[in-house]
Amino acid sequence: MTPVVIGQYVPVDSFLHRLDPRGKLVFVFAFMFLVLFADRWPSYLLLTLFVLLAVKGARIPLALFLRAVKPILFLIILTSLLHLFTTKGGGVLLQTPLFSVHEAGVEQAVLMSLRLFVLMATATLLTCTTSPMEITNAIEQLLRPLTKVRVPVHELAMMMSIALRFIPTLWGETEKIKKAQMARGVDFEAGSLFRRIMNHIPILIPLLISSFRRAEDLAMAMEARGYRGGEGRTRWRELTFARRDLWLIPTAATLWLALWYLEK
Amino acid sequence: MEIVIEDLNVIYHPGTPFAKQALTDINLRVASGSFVALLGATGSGKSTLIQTVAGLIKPTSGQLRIGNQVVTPKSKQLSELRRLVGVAFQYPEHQLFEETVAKDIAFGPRQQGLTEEQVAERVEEAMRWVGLPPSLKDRSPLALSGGQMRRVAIAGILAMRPQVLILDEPTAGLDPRGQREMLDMVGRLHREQGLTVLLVTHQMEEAARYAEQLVILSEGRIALTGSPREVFGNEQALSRLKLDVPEITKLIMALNRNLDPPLPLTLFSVEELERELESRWKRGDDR
Repeated sequence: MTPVVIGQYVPVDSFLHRLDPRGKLVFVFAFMFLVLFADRWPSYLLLTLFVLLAVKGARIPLALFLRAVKPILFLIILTSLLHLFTTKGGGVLLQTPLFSVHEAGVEQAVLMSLRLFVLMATATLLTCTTSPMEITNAIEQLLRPLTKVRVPVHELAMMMSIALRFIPTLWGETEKIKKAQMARGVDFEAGSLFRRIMNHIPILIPLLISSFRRAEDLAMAMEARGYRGGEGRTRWRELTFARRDLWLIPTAATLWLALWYLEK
Repeated sequence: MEIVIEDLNVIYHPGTPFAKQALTDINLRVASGSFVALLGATGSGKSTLIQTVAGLIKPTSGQLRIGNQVVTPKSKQLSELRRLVGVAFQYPEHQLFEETVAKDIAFGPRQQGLTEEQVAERVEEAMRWVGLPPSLKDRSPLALSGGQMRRVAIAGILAMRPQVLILDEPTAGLDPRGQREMLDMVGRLHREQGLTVLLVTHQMEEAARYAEQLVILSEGRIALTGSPREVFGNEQALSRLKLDVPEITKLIMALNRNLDPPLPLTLFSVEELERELESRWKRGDDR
């Protein structure tokens, strides 16, 4: 049984789902840049609000979304604690012989947490609303100019989509081999760390062998169907920039301007 | 070794939205040293059942007893059970990983902590059981033919000297001759080693010819169980479960429409049928 992967594509229909993946990708990069650039209270309020609105607009079950953000909770807590105790400045809020907490520390801790949350939420939102195939296509098209300097863009994109396609397959295979070796007496939970690592060799080698076999089969099947790289290749689903995608431009511009004003 | 399953239920991911009941109220008794075939459509719970018997999945409720090992939902250690039960999953050759055939077969016995001499002895013995020539000992298992690779994998399981042998479609992907050889080998192991064999199969012919007891699963429940004769005689139940009668049984049923007394439905090979017909003809009680 395949587990739910962090930021897994949620196939529902929403405005965000229908946007052109290229536009989304560029927008997300621009937005993340803004997040890293923001340094003040009001800007963070604005950015957080924007992300929350976007999550609502994406029609993704909130529980699913929160589960995706949960893994970085530890990171958020750790960084905020570090900031809380190490950042000095402003009035002293708490003074003990061991450490002191300053106003600036509290501010930094909250801002840092928000920054991490917004970054993670944006990335999750992108992968939740865009299928891996769309992302790969978008990356391929956005990087196309690099083919001029002999970067094998199509090949890289193809490798990426094949890798993504085979994650569930390999996961299933791992489970199967693990059970087979457990039946042969391997105990994956017992023993020292070294022993436990060594115990995984009987899983890794069959997995590697089967991956090579699969790769060969796939290569053969691709060749049999006339695959010869990206040149002259057409697509089933062409990406088209629609009118709704144009909304991204004023949205991005407004956010930039607002932030520029707030940070000034 | 006797297998007794009482009120067994297995639910995957209990208490989550992904919960799925794989087995429901399974009660089954498999006599020591018997040969049982497990039949059922894809998703009927065969795979979950064998994994539970093999000690790889814990029951959600109910219990399982093999010999004097009892497994309940609270059982902590299943490794003792795994020692008693050897299981060859589908395409067991995919689990091979050592450099040589001998090393791969030795993997299980080594995990049991036997001495090198005992291990070598087990390897030799297991290779003999599955009909692999000793000359293959130092070859890479990956350089063998498909049928031989599967034998190596099964030898690796037999080398642990299980009391119960579970085989999940051991003939899948083999040519007709390979299939026959594989089943003859399993039949021989069953007779000679006194192994209790659980065979998962889709082929009615295989089940009818080798098994003493058939267990038919449908949607996680035991839909029908009994000897091949009882099961294949019950045409109504079979058609309800969308299962096929072996070709030879179909032939006998067709012949029986014009025969009195009818031919027994327990004949599952052409040779047996031939002998029966021949003896009848000699006695002259046909027609």
